[in-house]
Amino acid sequence: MQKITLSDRLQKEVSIAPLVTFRIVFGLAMLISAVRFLLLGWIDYQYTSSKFQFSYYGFEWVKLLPPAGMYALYGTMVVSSIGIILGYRYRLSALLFFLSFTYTELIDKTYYLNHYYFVSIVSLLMIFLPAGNSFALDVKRNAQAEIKQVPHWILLVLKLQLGIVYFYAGLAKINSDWLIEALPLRIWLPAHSDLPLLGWSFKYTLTAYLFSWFGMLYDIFIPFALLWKRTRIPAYIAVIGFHVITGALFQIGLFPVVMISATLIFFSEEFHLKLISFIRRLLPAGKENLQEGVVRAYLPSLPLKLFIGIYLAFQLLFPWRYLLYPGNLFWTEEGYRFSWRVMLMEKAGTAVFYIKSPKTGNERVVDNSNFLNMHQEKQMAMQPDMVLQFAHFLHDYYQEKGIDNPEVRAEVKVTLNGRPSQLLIDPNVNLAAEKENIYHKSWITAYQE
Amino acid sequence: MKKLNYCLLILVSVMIVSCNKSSDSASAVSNFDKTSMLSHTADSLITPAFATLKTSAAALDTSFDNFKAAPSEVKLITLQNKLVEVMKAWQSVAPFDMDVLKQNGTYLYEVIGAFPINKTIIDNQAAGATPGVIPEGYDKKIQGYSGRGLYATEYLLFSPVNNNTQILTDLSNAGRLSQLDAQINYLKQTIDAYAQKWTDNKAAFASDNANDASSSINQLFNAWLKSYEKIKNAKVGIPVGKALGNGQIDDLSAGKQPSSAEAYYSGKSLDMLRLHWTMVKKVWTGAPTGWEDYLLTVSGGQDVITATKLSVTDIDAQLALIPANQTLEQTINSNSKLVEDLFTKLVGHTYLYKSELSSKLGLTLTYSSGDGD
Repeated sequence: MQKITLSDRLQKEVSIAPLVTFRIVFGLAMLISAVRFLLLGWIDYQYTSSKFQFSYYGFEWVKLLPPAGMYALYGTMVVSSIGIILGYRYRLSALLFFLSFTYTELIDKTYYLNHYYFVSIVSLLMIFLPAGNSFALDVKRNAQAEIKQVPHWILLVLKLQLGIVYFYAGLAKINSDWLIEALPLRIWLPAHSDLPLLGWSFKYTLTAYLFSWFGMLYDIFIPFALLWKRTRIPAYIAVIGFHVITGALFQIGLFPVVMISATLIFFSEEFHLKLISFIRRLLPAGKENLQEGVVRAYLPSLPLKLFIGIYLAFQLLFPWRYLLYPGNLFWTEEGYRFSWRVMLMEKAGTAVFYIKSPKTGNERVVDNSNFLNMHQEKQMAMQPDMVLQFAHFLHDYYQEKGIDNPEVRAEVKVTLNGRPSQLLIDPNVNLAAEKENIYHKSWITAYQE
Repeated sequence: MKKLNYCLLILVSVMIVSCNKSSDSASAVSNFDKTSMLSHTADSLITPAFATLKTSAAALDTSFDNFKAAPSEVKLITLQNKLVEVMKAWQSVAPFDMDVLKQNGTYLYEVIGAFPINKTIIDNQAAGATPGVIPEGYDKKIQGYSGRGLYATEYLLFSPVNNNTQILTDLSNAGRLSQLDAQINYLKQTIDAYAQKWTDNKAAFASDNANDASSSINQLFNAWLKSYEKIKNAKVGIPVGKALGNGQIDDLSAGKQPSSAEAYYSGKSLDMLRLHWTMVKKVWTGAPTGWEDYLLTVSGGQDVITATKLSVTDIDAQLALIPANQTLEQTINSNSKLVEDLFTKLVGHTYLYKSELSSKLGLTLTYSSGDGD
C-alpha cells in the first residue's frame, strides 16, 4: 500500500463548497458591519469630526478623506461586500473591499481592533482564493469559470488563519494576571451583574477564575476540536456559546458574528454542499448541484503559492516580535497590536501635557479635549506610541502658532489590571525631541510589580 | 479516559490554589446595587438641583418683570441677587449635565452655563436691529465665547463692575433692556425644558442596572467627570494662566486671565467654584450612596478611596487658603501662587477620578458605544 505523504494530503482535490460558504457568510458579515457603522453615525464621530488622527508607523500617508470621501469608502464596502456575497466580479469586489476597509482602519489606530485586523487580512486572502468560481454570478456569466474542486490546502489556509487567531489568543492568556489573579475578569464581571441568566454569578470571584481558565483552554484547544470530526459539533456549540456570552458582556461589535460564521469552514464538505443546496433551493434560479456537471479542478499558480507561504509565515512569526522588546508587554505595548491579544487587560490612564516655550519659559497645561475626542484621549492616555504622536502634534501645532520649537512633556498615570496608577513615561522628557521608530522607547518607565 | 481525569484534577487543583492565593479574592465579591445608588442620586441630588434651578429662574423672571415696570437701583440689586441665585443653583446641576438630557444635541452647559462670554456679540445684538433675539455665538472649539445664558445675563446686569448707576443708565436703552429681557426669558424657557427632560427620564435613569457606554451609571460618571474637568481648567487653570483654553488655546504667551473666569462680572467666581466643587464631592460620597460606596465593594477600591480622600483634603485645604473676602481676580493679582497651587492639586487629583475610579468600576470614558476587543 502506497504511503500518503503530507504533500498528497495538501494537494488532494476537495469540494469548493466550504470556500463558497465562507465567501457568502464573510460577505454578509461585512455588509452588516458596514451598514451598521453607517447607521450608528460612527463615520462622523470617529473620522470626519476628528481634528487629529493617530496614524500607524509606516502608514502616515494614509490620510483622513473629506466627509464625501469617507462616505464613499463605506459605500464601496457596502457594494463590494454585496459583490462578494453574490460572486459578482468577485475578484474585483474582494480587492475593493480589502482596499476600502483596510484604508479606513489605517487612518487612526485609536480604533484598532483585533477583529478589524482579522477582516483586513482575510479579505486580502480572499482576493487570491477562487471563492467566486462556484455558485456565483460570475459563473452564470461565464460557465467556463466554474470550478468544482480545489486543492485541500486552499481550505487549510483559512482554517490555519482561524486557528492562529484562537491559539495565539489562548497563549496570550497564559500569564499570571489572567490565570492566577483572574484579572481583568475579576474587575469586569461584577460590573455586568445585570446580565440575564449568568449575571447573578458574576459577583463571585470563583466565576472570574472559571471564565479565565475556560477562556484560555477554549482558545487553545478550539481549533483542534473543530478540526477533529468527533468533537466538531460540541466544539461548534462551544464556539457559539463562548461568542454569545462575550458578545453580551463586552462591546465587541460584530466579532462574535464574524467568528461564529467563519468557523463554519471547519465543517465537512457534505455539510457545505447541503447548505448551498438549501440556499439554492431558496433562489428562483436553477437547481444545479455543486457535485453535478463536469469536475473542473483549480490549479493554483506558483506566485499564489509563494504569496500564501509568505502570508502564513508572517502570521505565525509577527505576533512574537514583542520578545525583541524589554519590559512588561502590557505596560509598554511594544509589539502588542496584531498579535491576537483580545480583551486581555484592564488599562486606563490620565495624561496631562505641558507645552513650554524655551524662549520665555512659559509652560501651560493643554486641554486634550480641544484636539481629541473622548475615545482618542482614552486610548492615547495609556499607549506610549500614541502619547508620543500627540506630543509631536502639539509641537507642530504650537510651532505653527509662532512658538519657536516648543517643548512638550507629559505626566501620564496609568493603572493596569486595577493596580495603583504609576507614571507610564518619564515626565521630564521633552517628547518633541523623541523620534518615533520601531525600537524600544527608552523614556517609558519600568513597570513596578 | 484516566489521563483526561488526571488532567482535569490537576486543572481544578491549580484553579483552587490560584483562587486561594489571590490576595483579596473574598473582598472581590461585589454586592453593590447600582440602581440604589442611581435612585438615591436622582432623588437626593439631581431632582432637588433641577427644582431649585427652575424655581430660581422663575424668580429671576418675575424680578425682571418688576424691574422693567419701574427700573430703580433697589430693583436692580434685587434682580442681580436673583441672578446670582440661579448661578448658584446651576452649580448643583452642572455635574449631572448628562448625554441623555441633551436637547437638539446640546448640553445644558452649552446653552446656559458657558463662559467666558463674548461681550462684543452681546453688545452688538443689543445695539442692533434685533435686540430681542438671543445671539448664538457659542464656539465648541474654544469651549466658550458664548453670547447667551447665565453669564451673558450676568454681563448685562453687572457690567461695568461695581457701577450700578451706569448699569441703570445702560438699561434705560430700550435695545439693551430688550436683550436682557430676551436673555432672562431664554434662561427660564431653557431651564424649564431641561428640567422637564430630567423629569421624563428620571425613572429610566434610576432603574437602569446596565454597565455599557450609554447606561445611566456611565452617563453619570462622564457628566460628573467632565464637570470636574471644567472646575480644574476653566474655573481655575485658565484664569490663573496655567492652562490653555477658552479662546486662547493657541496663545502660549497669554498670562493670567481672571476675566475669563466664571461669574467674573458679579465677582462671584470663587463662590461658584466652591459650590461646584462641593457638589462634585457630594456625588463621590453620595446621598447616601455614591462612588465611594461602589468602590468599597470592589477589589482594591479601598486604596482608591484612601488616596482620593487625602487628595480631596489637600484641595479643600488649598481652597481654604484663598481669602473668602476677595474676588478670584483680586487673589490672582495679589497672590496668584495660591490659585496656581490649587490648580496643581486639581491636576494631580484628576487621575483618581478619570482612570482609577473608572478602571475599578468598569466604567467607560465615553458615551459612544464603540466596539472594542
